[in-house]
Amino acid sequence: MRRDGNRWKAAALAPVLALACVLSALAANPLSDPVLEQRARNLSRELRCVVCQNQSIDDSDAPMAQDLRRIVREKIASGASDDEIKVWVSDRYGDFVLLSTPMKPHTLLLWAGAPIFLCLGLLGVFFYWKRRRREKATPDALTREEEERLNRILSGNGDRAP
Amino acid sequence: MKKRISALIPVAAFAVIVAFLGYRLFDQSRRPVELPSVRIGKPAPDMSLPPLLEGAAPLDSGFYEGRVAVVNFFASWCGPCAEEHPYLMELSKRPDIVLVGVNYKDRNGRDWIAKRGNPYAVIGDDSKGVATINFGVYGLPETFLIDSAGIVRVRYAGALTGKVWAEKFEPLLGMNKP
Repeated sequence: MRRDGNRWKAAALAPVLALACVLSALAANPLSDPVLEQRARNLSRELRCVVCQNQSIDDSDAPMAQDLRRIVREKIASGASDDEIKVWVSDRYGDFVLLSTPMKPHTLLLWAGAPIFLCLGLLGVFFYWKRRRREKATPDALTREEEERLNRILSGNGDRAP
Repeated sequence: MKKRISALIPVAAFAVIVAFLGYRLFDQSRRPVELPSVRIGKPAPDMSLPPLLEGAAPLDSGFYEGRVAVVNFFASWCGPCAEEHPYLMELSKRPDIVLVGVNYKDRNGRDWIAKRGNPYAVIGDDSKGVATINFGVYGLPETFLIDSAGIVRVRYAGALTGKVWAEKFEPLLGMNKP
């Protein structure tokens, strides 16, 4: 949305906005119990804001994120567990709102993908070195020209073509 | 010669990965911004909201029980809501559906409706945004089709037009007829 001419204005505004975001996260009526409030903050950091999708609801100032922060606090105050709250939110918005992807059959490839590719890479490196070592140990056989030249040199005829 | 071909394997593998990721990146049918609704095929959440308009009936989900309902989430500040409003007026003339409005956290909703006309059979004032979150709404406008058995059949994010209606909503209207 920012126009080029406004870049400096935007740069000057950035710290103000950052401060506003921090204040807004705090302004969501913090719970009086610091332990519960910490749980609410941690949980808010794990929930994606569905409006600005690369922010958590703890970072976002979108009205819907404010509502979700309030709901998280209400649920914590009424004794819900973290998992219960996550299920409540993902029942409405899907697994996409959970910033850490849950381990489920259809996310298995995602979780196992990186280790599988690492193993494939290590296997590739292993076979590459094995082949190189074998090639070094047994040098290529001489070609016919090389063999004839060698024979000429060994038989004392000198290194000259006939 | 054999060596030269095997040297191409990593390049080919890289090209395959680039092609796959590039396809997924630009594939318009799978844009992550368009969150798939997890509510499809499941019972619609109950609603109980105070009326938006003075003297009107409150919005209770019992109101459309047993009928095909179109639930539309809107707000006065939302551009596409104004854009789809004329089409909703048209839709309100249909006898086979109940058009239900939910005004999301909006101070000017009442004036907006007074100025433009009211296409809805009933409008709830979701001043706390809880009903909207219960439906899994993430942006306005959003429109849901709830069949006569109370199951969510369609969720559409964006301005409703005759074309969208014909493509996504109309084909499902025949389902679950009483």
